[in-house]
Amino acid sequence: MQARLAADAIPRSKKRNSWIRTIQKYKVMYILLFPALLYFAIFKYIPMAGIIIAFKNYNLALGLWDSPWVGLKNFTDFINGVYFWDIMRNTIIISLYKLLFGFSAPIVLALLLNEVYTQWFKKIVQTITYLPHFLSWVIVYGLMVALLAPGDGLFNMILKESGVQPISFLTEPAWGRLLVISSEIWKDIGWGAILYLAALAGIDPSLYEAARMDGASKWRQLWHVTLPGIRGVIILMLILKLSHILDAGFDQIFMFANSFNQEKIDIIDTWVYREGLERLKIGLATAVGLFKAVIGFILVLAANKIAKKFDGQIW
Amino acid sequence: MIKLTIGEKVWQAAVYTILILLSLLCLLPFLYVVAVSVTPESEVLRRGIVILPETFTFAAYKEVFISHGIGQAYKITLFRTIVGTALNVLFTVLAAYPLSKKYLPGRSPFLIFIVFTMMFSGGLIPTYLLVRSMGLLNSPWVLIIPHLISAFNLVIIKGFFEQLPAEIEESSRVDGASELQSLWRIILPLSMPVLATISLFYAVGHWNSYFDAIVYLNDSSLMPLQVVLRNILLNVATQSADSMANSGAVSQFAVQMAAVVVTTVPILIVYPFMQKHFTKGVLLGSIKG
Amino acid sequence: MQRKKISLLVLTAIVGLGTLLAGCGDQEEVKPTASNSSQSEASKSANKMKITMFNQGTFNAAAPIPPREEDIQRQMLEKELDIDLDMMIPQAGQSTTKLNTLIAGGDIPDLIFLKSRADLAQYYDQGVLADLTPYLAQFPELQKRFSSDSWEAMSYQGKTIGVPGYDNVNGMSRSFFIRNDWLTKLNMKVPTTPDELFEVMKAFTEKDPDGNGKNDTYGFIGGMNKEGNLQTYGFDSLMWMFGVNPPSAIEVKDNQPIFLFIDPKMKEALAYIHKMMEANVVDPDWVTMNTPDLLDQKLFKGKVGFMIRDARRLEPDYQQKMKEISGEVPEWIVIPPMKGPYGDQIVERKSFQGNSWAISAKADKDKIIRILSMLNYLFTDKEAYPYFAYGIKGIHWDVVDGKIKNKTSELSKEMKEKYLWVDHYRMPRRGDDAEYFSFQNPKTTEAFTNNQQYVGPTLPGNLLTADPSDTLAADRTRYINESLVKFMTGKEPLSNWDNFLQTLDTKFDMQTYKETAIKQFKEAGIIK
Repeated sequence: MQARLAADAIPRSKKRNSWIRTIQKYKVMYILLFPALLYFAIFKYIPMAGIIIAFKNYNLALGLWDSPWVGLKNFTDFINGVYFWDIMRNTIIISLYKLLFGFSAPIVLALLLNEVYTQWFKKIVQTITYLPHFLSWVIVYGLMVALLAPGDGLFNMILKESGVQPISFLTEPAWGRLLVISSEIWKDIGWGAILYLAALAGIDPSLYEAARMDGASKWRQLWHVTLPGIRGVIILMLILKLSHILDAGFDQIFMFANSFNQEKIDIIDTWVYREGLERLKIGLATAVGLFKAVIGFILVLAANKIAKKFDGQIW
Repeated sequence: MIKLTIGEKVWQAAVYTILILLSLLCLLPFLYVVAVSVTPESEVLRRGIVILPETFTFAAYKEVFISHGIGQAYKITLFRTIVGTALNVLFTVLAAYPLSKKYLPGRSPFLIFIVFTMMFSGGLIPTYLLVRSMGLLNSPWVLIIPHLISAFNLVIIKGFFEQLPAEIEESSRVDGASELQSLWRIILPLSMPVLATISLFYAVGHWNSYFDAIVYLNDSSLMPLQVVLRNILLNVATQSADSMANSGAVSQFAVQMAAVVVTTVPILIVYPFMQKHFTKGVLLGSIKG
Repeated sequence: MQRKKISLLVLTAIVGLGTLLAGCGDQEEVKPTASNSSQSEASKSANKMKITMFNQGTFNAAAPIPPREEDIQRQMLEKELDIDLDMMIPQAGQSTTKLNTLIAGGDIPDLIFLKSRADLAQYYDQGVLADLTPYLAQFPELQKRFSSDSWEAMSYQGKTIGVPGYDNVNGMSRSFFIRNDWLTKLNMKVPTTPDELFEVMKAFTEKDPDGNGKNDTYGFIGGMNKEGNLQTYGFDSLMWMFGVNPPSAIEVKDNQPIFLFIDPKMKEALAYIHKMMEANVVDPDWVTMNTPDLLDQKLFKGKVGFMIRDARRLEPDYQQKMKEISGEVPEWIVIPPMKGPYGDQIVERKSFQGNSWAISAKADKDKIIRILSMLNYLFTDKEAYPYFAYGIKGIHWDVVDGKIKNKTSELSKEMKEKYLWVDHYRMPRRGDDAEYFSFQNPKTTEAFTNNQQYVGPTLPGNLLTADPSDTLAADRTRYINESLVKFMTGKEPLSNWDNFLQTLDTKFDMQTYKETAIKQFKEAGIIK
């Protein structure tokens, strides 16, 4: 018995020694990392205890620990909502469209800007396309009304002048998603391009020179130099975006939705606002948040795995 | 100058046209906002959409500055943006550097530990309780410390560090430079574009945020610009029908737009200054040379 | 070279940081002295009590709070009651979140203004609010200040848990505005029935009443709020002609609750509105009208002949605005509501006393009494009244010939803007105080007075509180709102009305909702 224990003890202490040795070897690295880990532990992981609210009937006066447990009731309330499938479908569709177009538009803009050799022009375009990011959705919707209102909206006035039937952009369900997605692209195209421009700036110009020497056409340069140069960022951004696949943009949809187009653009978050937050059902709101997080996390795990094949993984 | 072929000329013309159209699309709404802020309401209502006002008035700006305590809010916003961004970038870079080293034992679990927080959170109330127990409530530092590092920005900057050619750093290490020295001398100068980008992300984040201020601060003199802006934007809709103060000649619409202009122009100016760090390959060339 | 540049950058950043930190330090230094002085004042009288007040009832949430030395009303309250008053104005749109975090953190404000009975009941159910029943007997004047209806609205499960927030004003905001010049031009009479109104609206739309040769006028415009609720912006007034109204409007008749939004008469109201839509008399922009100021703009532009607006739009300021916009002042007059097929002639129902002041459950007996004394002073002290209701003496009001004269309307714009914050204290103003409103145009007064006879009694349905186990409440409201709009616009033919009722029962559990209503009415003694 004893001999066996002793035999076990040796590799264990050896193991520990190797741990200590590793830490010593990378001492500086771990010291640099420490503040960040501490920050995430304190400000993100301690409050995460609050996830238990998802399984409670949260009561403001009783608080986190003393509120009664309700098991999965908050989740079943969410799933049993009459509009559950509607809001799930809307959220996923809007989110996917935003991923497809809202994600690629800034890349295209960055690539176009990359083709511009007049520096002042490039800078001006960069600055102007970045403007809309700073207009809040309240303002953007106000602009939409001024442009697209069925009566006094500029666009419909022009249509009426030219004898065409006005279009109910703001209320027709068929227009709802298109409006939501296109306004999002418009608002964030310049903002989103910044990161890709930074990545493009990191590409070694000698690579282009070499390609040109080889007589590579513009397209071949794009394909063999530019895109590989920003591939890493693109994959990274894609993975990060997937983590929020069930956030279709509360601030925006809350402004855009009305009794007419709601059926096509009502999303999870607007439902939670009506049913959970306005009625003081904090447990329900937390449960839905947890549901969204789990889906996001699964997607990120999967995406990271796939990205490994392209050497673009996060970890 | 390299001679362009006809095909390339057509391509260039197309690129310029697309970019000009896009710029117009982005600029016009902003011009409209500015125009409304200096136009009397009667003219806006009469003409519908105004880009070039017939009559100018700065009454709306006067109201924004006199009645809404914008000056104090500017101070707070500048504080959180400048100090906050400096600390954000510092701590993010320090953590991103070790995480960019694939050989570092424990790197993957650490990264998962960090990325996990991007999705899962305890929600508002538990975070509030934590901040409260740390005694940060009603202090301007509450606008900075709870958002010290953004996992998103950390992962991005780590990704850029990873893409730098490893040989450059290795050669400096052979010369006997420590990790910190090579971070400072090699990695950071090579990463100016992404550093500038991340700084901008953080700065704009600070500039635009209002929710933390509303939740964590009680003292109205500590409220940043965006809170004041929101109050002006939303108040028209929520103002009690019983109020009698709301019957001036200044249109509320103009005041709203003036508030938008006053609260966004300073941060807009930051971007052009930052763009010089985007010059292609300059830094890489200079280091190599 | 490059390195030097970077070091310089970092250096400037650090210097900048340092100066800012110093600046911030200054700020923090200022505060302790302020609180020190208040502390020394506090030590003068051992009884001084700190009272925190969550005032979301302010008449202007965007007005910043002034420093104590300028804040005369605050000084009055603090001196009169020997308190240290710490008022918090929640930021627009986030007041519920703010209140909830304060409560969750254990910092329940001592005195809380709540906007609705639903909030009052919810917070009481969660153990946040104190029962005031045992203390109110000590304040007979405060009790007299509000009607028994108002006090009834403060009662929940047999206890009084709040003090009425402020007087509602009726017969003002939903006045029937019509273009008298258009009527004259088209040789028509003021409409008195729904059918006459329809003819007038049709003529307004089709007969070019403004004589500009263009087909650009409309008979009517209304709207609905962000949540899709039709209750406030004009369509509700049309529905009242038939004696019905959208969600939450519940009447009690013959010991039975009558749900006005699914009453057979609602079908007639919807048919009427649908007829208007078909005839194109409704300005198509109605779908974008989700705030009152958008409707005001339509009023100012003068292309719509009939709408429901606030009687105060007859005041000179607004008349001036209309003149600037359209070049002439349209002759708007306020008319009595039309008499419906069932004899209903209603401007609006008397507002329910929804808002309230509630006191933290953490407050002890002394504190509750002190706070109630403060409300008692605020609402009943005759000398203090003008300071709270009108503003600062010598600026907003003055004593002229021994009488109090409200001068707010004479103030310059700059002065009004400088003292926006007096709006934080206006809650005591009486709903019938003519001096407070001090109309400039006698026609406004006339409209206000005339409207009073068409204010119907409060709907008992307002007393109902949401049942927490009713998980479909928000979905049901959405369905009702959406369906009513579809019937109005004709997207859903009225022949589907019975389907609508059936879906409410089968999918949205309407039956349980009805039973809860009956149960609560029984508890309140409205149904025997």
